[in-house]
Amino acid sequence: QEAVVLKLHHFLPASSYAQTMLLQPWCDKIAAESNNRMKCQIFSSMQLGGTPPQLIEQVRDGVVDLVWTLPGYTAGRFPSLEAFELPFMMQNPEATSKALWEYTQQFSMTEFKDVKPIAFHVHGDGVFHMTSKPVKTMADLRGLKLRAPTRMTNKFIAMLGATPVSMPVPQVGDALSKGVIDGAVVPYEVVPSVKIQELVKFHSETDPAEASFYTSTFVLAMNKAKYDSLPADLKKVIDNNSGITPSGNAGKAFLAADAEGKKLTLKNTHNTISASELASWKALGNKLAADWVEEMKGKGADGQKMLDTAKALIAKHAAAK
Amino acid sequence: MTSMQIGLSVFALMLVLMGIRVPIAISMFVPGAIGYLMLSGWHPLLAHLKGAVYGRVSVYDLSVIPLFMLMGAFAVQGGLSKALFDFANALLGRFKGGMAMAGILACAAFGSISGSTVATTATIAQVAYPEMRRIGYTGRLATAVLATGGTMGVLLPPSVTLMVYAILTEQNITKMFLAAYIPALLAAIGYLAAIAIMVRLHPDQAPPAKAAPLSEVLASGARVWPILAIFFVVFGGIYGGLFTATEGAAIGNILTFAITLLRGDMDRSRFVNAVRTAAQTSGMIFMIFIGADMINAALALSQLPMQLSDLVAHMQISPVIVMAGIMIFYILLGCVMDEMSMILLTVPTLFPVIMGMDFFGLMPADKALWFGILILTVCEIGMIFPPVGLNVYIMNGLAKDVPMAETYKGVVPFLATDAIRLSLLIMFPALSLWLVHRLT
Amino acid sequence: MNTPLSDATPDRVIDRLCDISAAIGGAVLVAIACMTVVSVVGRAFFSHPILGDIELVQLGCAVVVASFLPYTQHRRANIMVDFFTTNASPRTQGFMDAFGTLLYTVVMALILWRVAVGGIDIKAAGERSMLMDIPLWWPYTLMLPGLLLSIVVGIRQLQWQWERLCRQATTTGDAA
Ligand code: NA
Ligand code: NA
Repeated sequence: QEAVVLKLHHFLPASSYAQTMLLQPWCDKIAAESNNRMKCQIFSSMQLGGTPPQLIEQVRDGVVDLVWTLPGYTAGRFPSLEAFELPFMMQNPEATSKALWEYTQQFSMTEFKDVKPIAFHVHGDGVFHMTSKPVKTMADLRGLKLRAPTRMTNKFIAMLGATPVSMPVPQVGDALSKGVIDGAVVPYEVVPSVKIQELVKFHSETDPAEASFYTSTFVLAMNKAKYDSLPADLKKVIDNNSGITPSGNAGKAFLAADAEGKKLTLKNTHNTISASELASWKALGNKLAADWVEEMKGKGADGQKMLDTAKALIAKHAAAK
Repeated sequence: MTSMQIGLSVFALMLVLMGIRVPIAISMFVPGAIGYLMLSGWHPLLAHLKGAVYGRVSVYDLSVIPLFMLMGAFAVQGGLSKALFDFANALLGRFKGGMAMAGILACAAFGSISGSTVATTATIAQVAYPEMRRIGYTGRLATAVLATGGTMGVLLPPSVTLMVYAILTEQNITKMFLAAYIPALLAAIGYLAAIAIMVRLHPDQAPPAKAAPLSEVLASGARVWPILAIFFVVFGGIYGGLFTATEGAAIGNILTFAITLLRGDMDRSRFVNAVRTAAQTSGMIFMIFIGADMINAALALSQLPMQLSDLVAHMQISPVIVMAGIMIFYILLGCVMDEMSMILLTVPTLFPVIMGMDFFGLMPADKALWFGILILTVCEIGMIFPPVGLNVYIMNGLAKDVPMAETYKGVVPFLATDAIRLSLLIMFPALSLWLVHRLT
Repeated sequence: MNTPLSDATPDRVIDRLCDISAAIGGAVLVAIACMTVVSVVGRAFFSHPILGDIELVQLGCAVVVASFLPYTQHRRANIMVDFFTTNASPRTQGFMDAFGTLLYTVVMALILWRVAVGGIDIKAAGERSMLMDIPLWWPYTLMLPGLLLSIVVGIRQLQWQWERLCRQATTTGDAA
């Protein structure tokens, strides 16, 4: 009997931590637990065509069997997840990823009804990677062009006084090298995937005791029909590797990847944005959250409840650690 | 059929369709779609096409193509490009083949920032091709010069292709760029030498050398300052990181239009003609992109590039033969793929193979840089290698009065210098590595 | 400047439509250029660019290209390789060209259908542009007229090529 081959498509290079520390281990695990009757064929760097925002459509339609992507690349499609992409939500990626999984079960099932989510997770602390000057205060951002990933982060960057430029990660390297942007907000995990360490000189982190000024949500999702076509025992292997634990593990893998990525940047200049400076940022963050709640209300959703639940779940899983 | 056989059949069908006068874009699209269908099924193919075409035509970086096409068309219609060429010819006409040489260098300069071989050739050719014909170059030499010149940007820093190679193989971008300067210089020397020799052996290919009197240089120079100013703003701004290539193209458009209008050289019919030219050439180029995208997706799905790389890896043969095989493999891929697709699909599998072999006792880091330069050099060659080369098509599409065979004949001398350069780069890794060792 | 297939009314209408389509694409392209310049000036002098200028360029570019495609086919500017067939008889070449046009028309029909479905799906999913909040089904929809016209051009060219082949068959028959 021939092994089931799952085509997994994602946008980062094969050498990225996302592939080596998250996707490959997950694939190895399902291969081992199915006695090699099921395995992945990973297509990195969008090798099968399309753009990163189109990944979610690709897995929905069965162009591929599995994708790993950011729901936030497609604005308007997954509004419920934006609660986690508001400023200063995430402190520990493992706990927040578990909270995210639990939250999606309550609020996001309609948005993801066409695919089978395997895991939801977030990345670790967001960092400013800047070409010409470090970010110490909000004033340093004035007039600079900054790449940001999702709708909420773009809005927050604009509130801070910079000009947000929205682009998926793979374009960041080219944009930095050509001066299209003056910097990018990404976690350290992304550093080797775009060689940020060689394209910028400054890395500005926020006070580690504070929550990150942003995070992005990720999803590993499977095509529904493909899942349904699996024999019961292989379904079980997928089920055993889906849900809250793999989600938490993904968050943990990204935290470890951040540490690896930071090592690559050590010859550059690092600084930390102080907690006192962040106070005014948080005020803006709260305003953005209030705006978002309003916006959700306009869409007929109880944004306040979603936001409160997100916060409560994050606190619960952080405490459980 | 195995996926590899399907991949090969897709390739073969494409060549057959091209051979029987089916438009190139369609010759790529149809086998690509059939291959995709056989490998994945109707449903995935139809789903793929839902987003693929929009994804291909809504790329920010590619927006430079219609923008520069329109800017060039304004310059042609408003007489600016004629003024520029009169001036350049007054300066360079004293050297036989001088304008062709200038064309090569203009392509190189533009290519290193535009990030796309095809965009470079199309943009420069739009302006330069009619003028080169006007002052007496043959279609053969003019199309060959512009198609070849366009490929230089692949290697010349800052090149996005080099960056992607560096990322895939975890090399330092600065070192990668440093490694590329001497090979790019060799390319330029080779091409200029090819022109010099060609116009000597076939004097009818280029207008006779004619030293213009100083008065003519000054007179034509006086007319040309507006376009020089536009060039300065557009390319200075792009190189200086003040704005993106798209923004530069947009600014160039407005400036070119404004200047021709102010000089009374722009009227309704010229404006309409400019838009028509831009429409025709942009449509042609994007149609090829759409077709190439389909066949690339099928080839990626068939894993043909990966499996062939794997095959090379497991053959117990000498490194030299492996290297030769890889070089031929890339030239073949160049038929259907742009340089970026080639790199993305093959480097992850081929790179470990190379790293596992011994070449002149090179250290791993040096080997990686050297191999990158070789690969990109062959990608360049693949883009113009007969009978099928993406860049040759694009150039020929812009020069409707020149048969494809003429362009092929024209690129042969350039390919000869490419062959010499490639051999030198293979035999003397120091050509790629010396600057790296010297400066880091 | 333009060369309609014939003076017959349908050809003049197609000719005119291709021109209009190219003009619409050109207008969008000029609008993109102006918007970009405004954004660059705003950024350089007032630290205030147009938020979302890049996505506007992307969305606009899709519309521009689709509007240009029928004009390209109308002018037979979709490049092909004549290298191997220069010695073939005009009739053989005519057959090949008709075959090429047939494939072109089928491909464009496939693309039109899939882009339309893609637009419907994107609309259902509610996907919008990141900064300007523009519904993404708009550019999909605006691509459709250009794609549709490309098919019309293809069908008319095919019909014309076919009629010419038939005429050639008759003349050869008379000669024999
Ligand atoms: Na380049
Ligand atoms: Na080739």
